[in-house]
Amino acid sequence: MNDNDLKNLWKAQAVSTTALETDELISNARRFQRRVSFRNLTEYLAAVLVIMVFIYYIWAFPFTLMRIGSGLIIIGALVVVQQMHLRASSRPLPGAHGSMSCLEFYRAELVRQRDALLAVWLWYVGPFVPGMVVFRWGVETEMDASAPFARGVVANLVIAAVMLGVIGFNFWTARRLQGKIDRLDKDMVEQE
Amino acid sequence: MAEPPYSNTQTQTQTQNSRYQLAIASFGGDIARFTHGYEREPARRQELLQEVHVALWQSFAGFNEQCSLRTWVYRVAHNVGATHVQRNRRAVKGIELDVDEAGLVIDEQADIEITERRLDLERLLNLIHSLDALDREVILLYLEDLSAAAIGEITGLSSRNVATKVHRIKVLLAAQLGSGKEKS
Repeated sequence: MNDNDLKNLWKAQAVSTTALETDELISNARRFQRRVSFRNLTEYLAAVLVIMVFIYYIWAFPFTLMRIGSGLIIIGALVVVQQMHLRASSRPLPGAHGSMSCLEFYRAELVRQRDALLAVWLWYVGPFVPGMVVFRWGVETEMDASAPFARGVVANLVIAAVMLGVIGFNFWTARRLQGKIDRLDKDMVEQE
Repeated sequence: MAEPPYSNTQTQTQTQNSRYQLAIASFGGDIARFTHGYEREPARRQELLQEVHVALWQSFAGFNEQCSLRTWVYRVAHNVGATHVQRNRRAVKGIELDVDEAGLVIDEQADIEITERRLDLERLLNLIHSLDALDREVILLYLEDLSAAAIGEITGLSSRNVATKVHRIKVLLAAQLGSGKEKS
């Protein structure tokens, strides 16, 4: 199959070339916006769940340290929600799609995603750490002080391992994205 | 008599609408074909096409002829397509078609030539869907018969780099189409 055969094969596809009416464009734009909002909302749901659980703990447990820890975790969840909102709104608007070449657009998207992943320890895991430390301290000393020491150590290690696992996975994904950015940069240097 | 304050906005909207209409009249078919390169499932492809139309229409609010209409339209289409792929990362279907599936197609169509073209198109699409975002854009623009210079303007790559990429992808494609035919 030669070049022309390939191009003819591609161009022979039956496609629609009809423009949408302005009303349709407006209603579709609203529909897409609602979809983005819904997607963001589902991401916030986990934070809402955490907040509800720890509000219950404040009400259910009479121990000071656990209540302070629960309050700090709720504040941490609110910080995460605010950061999610900021990061979602930093995505390029459709109007910017035409003013950037595909290379610039693709690189900017990769950089945005890489930076968000590299900072996960700070904005996604970090805000929960003070609350978790105080809460676990309360569990070990106020709620069940007679429990075996080893049990507390194991529970703390498991929590720390989950947090480190989340950070490690995000660093690994960021490194893969960096590899793609490096390849793009190499392409750009080669063409200069 | 002073003009009403909204007249400027109305004129802008009219310009935006007329540019959109012109863009679709000139490049509507190209845009629709591009979406085949970014989504295999027909219902989702239709949704993507509408998304491209909306993004294009919205983008014309900021179009000041900083580049040609075609470059602008193609950039919007490909950047929306690339975003769609990133958002919906899924396993790429295998390069080869199932032999039974191919047999069924032959039975139904009873036309070997048409069936072969459909299989070739399937293989071509399989290859396109296995490519990275930038390589995918380059080959889609190449299939639309654009020159290396025009592809470079849209993608931001140099003509030389475009030519290298096209050559590399064509070698890959020839191998896929060749091996597909040997097996069928």
